[in-house]
Amino acid sequence: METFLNILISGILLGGIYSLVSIGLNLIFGVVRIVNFAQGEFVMLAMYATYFCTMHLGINPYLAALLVASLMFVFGLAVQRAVLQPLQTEPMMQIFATFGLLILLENSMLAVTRGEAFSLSGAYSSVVINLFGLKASGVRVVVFIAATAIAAALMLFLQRTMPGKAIRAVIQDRQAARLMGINVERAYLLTFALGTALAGIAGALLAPIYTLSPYIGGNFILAAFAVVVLGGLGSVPGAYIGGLIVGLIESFSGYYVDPALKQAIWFVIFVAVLIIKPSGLMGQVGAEEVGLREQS
Amino acid sequence: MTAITQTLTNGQRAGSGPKPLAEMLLQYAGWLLLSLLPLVLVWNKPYWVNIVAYSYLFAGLAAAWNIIGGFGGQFSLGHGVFFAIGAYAVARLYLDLGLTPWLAIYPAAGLASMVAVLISWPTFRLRGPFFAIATMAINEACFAVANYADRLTGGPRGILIPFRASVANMIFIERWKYAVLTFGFMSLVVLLTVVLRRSRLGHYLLALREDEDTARAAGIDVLKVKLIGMAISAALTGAGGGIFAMYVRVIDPPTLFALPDIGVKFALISLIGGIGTIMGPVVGALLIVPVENFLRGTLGGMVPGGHLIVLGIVLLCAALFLKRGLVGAFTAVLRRYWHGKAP
Amino acid sequence: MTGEPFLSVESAVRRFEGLIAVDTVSFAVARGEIVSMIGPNGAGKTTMFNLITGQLSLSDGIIIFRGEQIGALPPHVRAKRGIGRTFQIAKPLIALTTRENVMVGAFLHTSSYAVAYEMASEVLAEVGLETRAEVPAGELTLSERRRLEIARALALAPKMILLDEVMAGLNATEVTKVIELIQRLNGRGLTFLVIEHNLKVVRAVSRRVIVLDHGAKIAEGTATDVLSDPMVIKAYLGKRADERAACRR
Repeated sequence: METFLNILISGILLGGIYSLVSIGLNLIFGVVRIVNFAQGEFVMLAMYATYFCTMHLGINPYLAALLVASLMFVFGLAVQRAVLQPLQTEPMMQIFATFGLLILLENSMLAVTRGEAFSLSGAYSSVVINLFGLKASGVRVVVFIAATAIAAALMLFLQRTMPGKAIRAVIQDRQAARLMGINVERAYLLTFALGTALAGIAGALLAPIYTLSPYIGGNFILAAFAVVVLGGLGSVPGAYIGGLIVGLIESFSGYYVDPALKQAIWFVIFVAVLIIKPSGLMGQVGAEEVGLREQS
Repeated sequence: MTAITQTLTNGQRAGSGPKPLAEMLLQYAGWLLLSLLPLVLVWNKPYWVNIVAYSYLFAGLAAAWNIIGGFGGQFSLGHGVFFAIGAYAVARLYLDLGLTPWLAIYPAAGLASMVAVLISWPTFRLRGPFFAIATMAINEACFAVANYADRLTGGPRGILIPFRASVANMIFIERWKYAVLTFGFMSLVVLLTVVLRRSRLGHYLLALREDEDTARAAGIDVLKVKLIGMAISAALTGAGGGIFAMYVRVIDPPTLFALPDIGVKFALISLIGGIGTIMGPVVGALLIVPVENFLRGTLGGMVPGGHLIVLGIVLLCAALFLKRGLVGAFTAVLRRYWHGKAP
Repeated sequence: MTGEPFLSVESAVRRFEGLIAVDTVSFAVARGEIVSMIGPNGAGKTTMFNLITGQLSLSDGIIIFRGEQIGALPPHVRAKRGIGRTFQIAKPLIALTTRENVMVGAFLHTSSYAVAYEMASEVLAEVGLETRAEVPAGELTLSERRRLEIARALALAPKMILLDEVMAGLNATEVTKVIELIQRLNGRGLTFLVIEHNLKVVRAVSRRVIVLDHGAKIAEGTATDVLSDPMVIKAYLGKRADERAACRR
């Protein structure tokens, strides 16, 4: 029983990580209808940036999160303007471009760090929290709480604020939104930057958990895609719940099947959702429709 | 119209009926013979012969990808899977059953084809980028499986094919023989795409790439056409994988499934050369493979991952500025020039 | 109505998440007829087309074409059964030449390049695009694109063609040419169902007119009858115009 509960907790916490990483991606998918292959690399960049802030500037990693998120926001603006906006009507070129970005960022970091592994050792990583008699890693619990808080805050933003409502309108129907006077291009810019900033927060909070490596982005991107498909395009609660489900499935299958088959599991989830319910748990638009709608 | 524009506009003469297929094949055979030039130039330098041989192989593989990725518009990042299946199948058939690779290639291609149809059938429900993601996930999943199923694939260490040179074994001492082999492979695939481009399947693939609804309204069974295109593409890729196995004689999961080196490379070569063109993959490969080798040698030594940084930049810039690829841009310029000259 | 119903739409309904786009519409088209479908924007005309050609599935009701229920058939099978269509936004296949665009349709009946080539040449001559055959379809003018849409549908050798606002954006000469084309093809036995906003065209070609408004059929009859029907006028011009007219009386 205790093993089961341990796996459960582990799965939920892992799910929190996936939710956090995927929320930004989901927003970008839903609004800008762009598949950002480089999203995992944004997380990776943020992780290294946080490391730098913490180890070399002596800032508390959780405060660094705010700094890193802001920097990533600006970075996101730049990427959207320079790379994605020109390619709005060319989905295949978007794939090439964001994949190129992925390779570029991954290997630039490799070149800079020369393959040396870093880890944010110290006080934070070793904190263990006692959860109903079971042990849980403190930093992971923080991630879970953050994921929940961010999901809630994002939902409030989308429901209550004007820019949020504009974004929701664009998710539903960009032609109609344009006709209503919504500046769709600005919505894209804002959303992409926001999605990047969210990746930044994710990276900052995950820095104490993982050993930093330039390849860690690739680890997240596939899981994030599975989460987004499962949860449904453009749905924040979908991304949150989807992340938890993927985390739980990975945790349980890792124990009862084989941890090495992680990627195979993600793919099976991906395909299963597409066959059974293509719009995901809560999505308004199915993954299969992306690319059908006019991109302009 | 000059002969060149005739070639580049897929063999249709204004007003005088369709150009016979034989004539088109002959024309492209001419271009292919022209692409032998690099080999001829470096024939006595084994290092360069090796690179040219690789270029031909990847040209053929990119041309195979181009069938479903270029003509069909289905951006697959998972062709490494078919490549790997071909490689492992030929290796296993050769080592365990003593079957000559010249024959083993056929069942290997067939297997790759069947697997392709199986995994594409659910994933073709996805449009555009999501299809790409799914194929990427398949690639990663198969990578994990290849590491795991070590009885079949030799696991992480892979399979080593001992060096026993003979034509029957498809193992040669002289590098230039490999170059001839891969040239043959490339020519076969390219000429096949010429036939395909003219066929009903080719037209249907291009149609569904542009707009699936329009295609359906024209009576096209979109899923069936995609699957057939994928089956052909995967079979050819698997064959190329088999040849690769007999060339390098060491195949392991990292070599076969690495996206930047294999899966993405096919797409990149097609992009630079010209997606959906016929000679594009050849031009792209003859450009990229040598350059990448050069970069890997120089940059890769100085800066870890240096050559891949360049690859990333090339991908980005090509997507932004060179959408039609070299052949595509060349064709467009020619057409404009011809229009300007005509009365 | 002469002849047996070629196309029979019976109580067709299409719902979208709480919006009823097509509300229990029934009508029939006889062989060799030209029937126009008119109505204000958003009336459900294109949705109706999509239900007939299979781009959308029926929420309720049945559609019978030449004696066969086609409601469950996918779009490409309906095309094979003889229903051709054009789309409101002409989408030429820009990667192909004009001739190849038409050949895509022609390949329905043959797998031979030569045969498809010939068929396409004939169709191109029919619509007046034979001089533009080698041009990449992306370079065609709007009028040419519309004719290309028709050509590609014609290459299917359909029994019935659905035209979705082919006249939109064309000048008077171009409109006349297309009217002539429609009448010529109709003379050879091709049945037409046409969505049109241009009422002059409607009067010129249609034997019968069906009027949709807010998803429902509100009138059906000859062009003259329908276009002087007060309900139809109200639907187009709105309630206030009707009241203003009443005040003037």
